[in-house]
Amino acid sequence: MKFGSYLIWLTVAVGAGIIVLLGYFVDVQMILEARESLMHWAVILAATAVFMGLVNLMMVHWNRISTQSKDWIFSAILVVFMLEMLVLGLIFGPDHKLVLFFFTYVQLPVEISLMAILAVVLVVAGFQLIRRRRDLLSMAFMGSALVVLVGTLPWVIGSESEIVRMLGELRAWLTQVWAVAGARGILLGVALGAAATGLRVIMGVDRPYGD
Amino acid sequence: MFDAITLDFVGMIVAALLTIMILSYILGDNKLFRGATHVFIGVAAGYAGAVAWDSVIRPNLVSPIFSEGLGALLDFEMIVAWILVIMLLFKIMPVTAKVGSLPMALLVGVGAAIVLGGAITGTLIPQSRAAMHSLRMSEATSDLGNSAFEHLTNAVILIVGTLCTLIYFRFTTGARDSKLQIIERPMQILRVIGRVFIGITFGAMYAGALMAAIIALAERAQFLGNVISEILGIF
Repeated sequence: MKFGSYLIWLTVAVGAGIIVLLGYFVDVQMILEARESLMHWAVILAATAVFMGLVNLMMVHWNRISTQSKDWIFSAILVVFMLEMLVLGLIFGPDHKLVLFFFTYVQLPVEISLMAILAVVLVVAGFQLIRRRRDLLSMAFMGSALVVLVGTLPWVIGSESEIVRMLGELRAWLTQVWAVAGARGILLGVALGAAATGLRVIMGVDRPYGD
Repeated sequence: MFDAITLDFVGMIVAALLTIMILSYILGDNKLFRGATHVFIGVAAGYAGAVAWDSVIRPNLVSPIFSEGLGALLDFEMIVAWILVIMLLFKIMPVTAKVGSLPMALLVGVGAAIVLGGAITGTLIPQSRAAMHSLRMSEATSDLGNSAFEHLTNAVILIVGTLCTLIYFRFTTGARDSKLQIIERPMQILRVIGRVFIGITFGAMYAGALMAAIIALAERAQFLGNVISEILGIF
């Protein structure tokens, strides 16, 4: 039984993967139509998975509330706000002014505030890096960061002096040549890694859907 | 006094309180911060569910049945979609989770193909072409300098930096063959150069993120100032 079901799942994953991948490079009507249907089903399944994630989140926090475990009040807050937003969204739709009220006055300010405290966290992390690790990587990191920061400061842009002009040019050279070279290498490395992972799934070597 | 208290004003007060609760993290992890993050997770999760329902599930699975009746289920795409969704729902219970493996396999296969195709057509080919084009004088931009010497120097830095960074990510064991061991030493030097380029890139990204975060912090401070002045104006 295990052998049979494993083969079905493998066939579905590999078949779907090959058809969708072929759609990128082959202009055959039958393949394009099959690819469209597969992607349509995948989108619906992904949306269903979002709901299942919500159910799982609800069950985990409901368990913490019912057992009165440590800091259960935070779980209660989460469940109340999640249900409230979900019910309002399901009844009125995500564009209704009541839903947008919570989005504008709860979600947006919290997101911007989390971004704001990132300033403090980044400065602290930078200082700790200088204090604890003094190798080539950290020196290049801090040197580059300082040049970009000082070269972008308003007094640097507003000033006409020779040193300030040179600092601005150094910043531009660093960000447009040196940093681009590193970023391109990192992007190519990430893309190669992603392509290798995708190939392993399509070839059936990795089977995250189960054996 | 109460005429001035509108829904927007209440929202502004809520936003200000949440901002203070989040910014209290500067003093260390505390209950106010954790309360605000749990509110945020609850609202964001609920909103994500509402968007998933409104833009995918309702128009594709529910609305056709309401508009066309059960006859809509005779459509092949529709019936397969319903069967796959029902099978996926079995994943919620550990006992019946195996039934949901088939739609999971389809989701993983399609996702892997999209990732693979996206990596090839969206990153590998465009970035490789950009690296090659940087060597061509005819397609040079002013970013690489105006004179031929400046352009050549910068193009060499770009190519060397890209290759050394890629070599840095090459994790393999040392070669046992004595002939291959000859190239190990130069490879180590190239890896060190790659480390420098990665450090410079992350430094530039760090500076960019820090400046964006400082702008967000200034905006929040200004927002809190505006809220205080509004409250003082009312009372």
